[in-house]
Amino acid sequence: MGLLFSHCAGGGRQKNNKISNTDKAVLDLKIQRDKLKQLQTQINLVILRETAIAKECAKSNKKPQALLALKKKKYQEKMLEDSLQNLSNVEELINNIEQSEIQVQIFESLKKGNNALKDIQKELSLEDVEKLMEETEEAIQYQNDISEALSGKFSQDEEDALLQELDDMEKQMLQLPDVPKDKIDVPIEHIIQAPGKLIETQEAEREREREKQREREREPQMAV
Amino acid sequence: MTNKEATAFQFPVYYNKEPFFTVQPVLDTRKKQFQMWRDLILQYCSSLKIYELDLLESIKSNSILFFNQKINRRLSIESLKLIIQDIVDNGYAEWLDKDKSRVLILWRKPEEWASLLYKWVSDCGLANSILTVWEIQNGDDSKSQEFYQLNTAVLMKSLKALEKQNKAQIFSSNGDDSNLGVKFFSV
Repeated sequence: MGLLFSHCAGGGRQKNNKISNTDKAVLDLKIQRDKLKQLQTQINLVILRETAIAKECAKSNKKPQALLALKKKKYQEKMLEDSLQNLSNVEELINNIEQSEIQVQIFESLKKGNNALKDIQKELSLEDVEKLMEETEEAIQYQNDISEALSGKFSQDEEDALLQELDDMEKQMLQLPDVPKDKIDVPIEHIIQAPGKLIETQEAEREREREKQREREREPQMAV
Repeated sequence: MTNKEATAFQFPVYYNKEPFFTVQPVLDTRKKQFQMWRDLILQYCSSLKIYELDLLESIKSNSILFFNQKINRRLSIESLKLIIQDIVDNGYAEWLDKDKSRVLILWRKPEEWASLLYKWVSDCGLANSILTVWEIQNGDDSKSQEFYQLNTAVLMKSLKALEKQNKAQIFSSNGDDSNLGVKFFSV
């Protein structure tokens, strides 16, 4: 067994990089804790034994022996109390060390994270951002200019020329037809009421006139 | 290992055959016989959580494993040595001394113990923490585990197997061999 253990310990020494001094300290404390637990088991057994002896002696009327056993028991109980106190101290220390180690690890991680964040931010300087925003602004301005140009904001001259063109168009559209030379046989109200129908009405009127004329021409024939 | 404890163990039928207790002269038969003995010894030790056997002691104390009272047959010390040597050759046992009087029975191989241990460590969130060897064997946390009160030699072999897989590191707090502990790593 000794051979086996020394071999293990030797292996441990070769790869000591994974084991820190803290680890060793924690192990030492835990071994002390184990020893205290073992001690308590032992004390508990002694207390049980002394209690049994005391009872036995009391039964067989051996008072001094019974008292002695009780005294031993009392003493062991005191020792048990002490060892419990020690155990709680040791366990508290172990907990504190382990907790502190975790805190150190968390701190290290936070530090690394913080550095990483800083590095990323370094790549993103304020001037660069401002410059970028300026460029973006310029690009937007340029785009607006193009839109304006396309949406018809013209110079004064162009504007005038366009207005002139529009005027001409309107004049052409407003050119009135020539006044007819024939007499128009239409009541004036008619013209006023339905100006758009003037020509049609005239036409219809004339048609009716011609119809009557033809009827008149036919009548004499029939009479014959 | 008392015979009283062994009553819970269910012996196989061949345990009640007389020739089983005599080393067979024909090689093929003997091979088969040794294999049966191997199965029996490993099962017996596993069921009673026996890790070490003292050969002479087992014979002398009339261990039920090697002495069948019902048919009044016992294994001789020479036969037992042959049988154990066969188990050693198969990797399920290791001699503990040069005289081959005591043997470590590995009814579960160290690698198997190692994976059980490591699973427990992971399940309990004990990776990256330090445990004492005593704690693994006797601690409150391992009470419900199969390796509770595991033989120290077997445990150390298992821990070394974990060390090989970079899952653990055995170390001592003060450089001597008595204060051993182990640090488990998360892989």
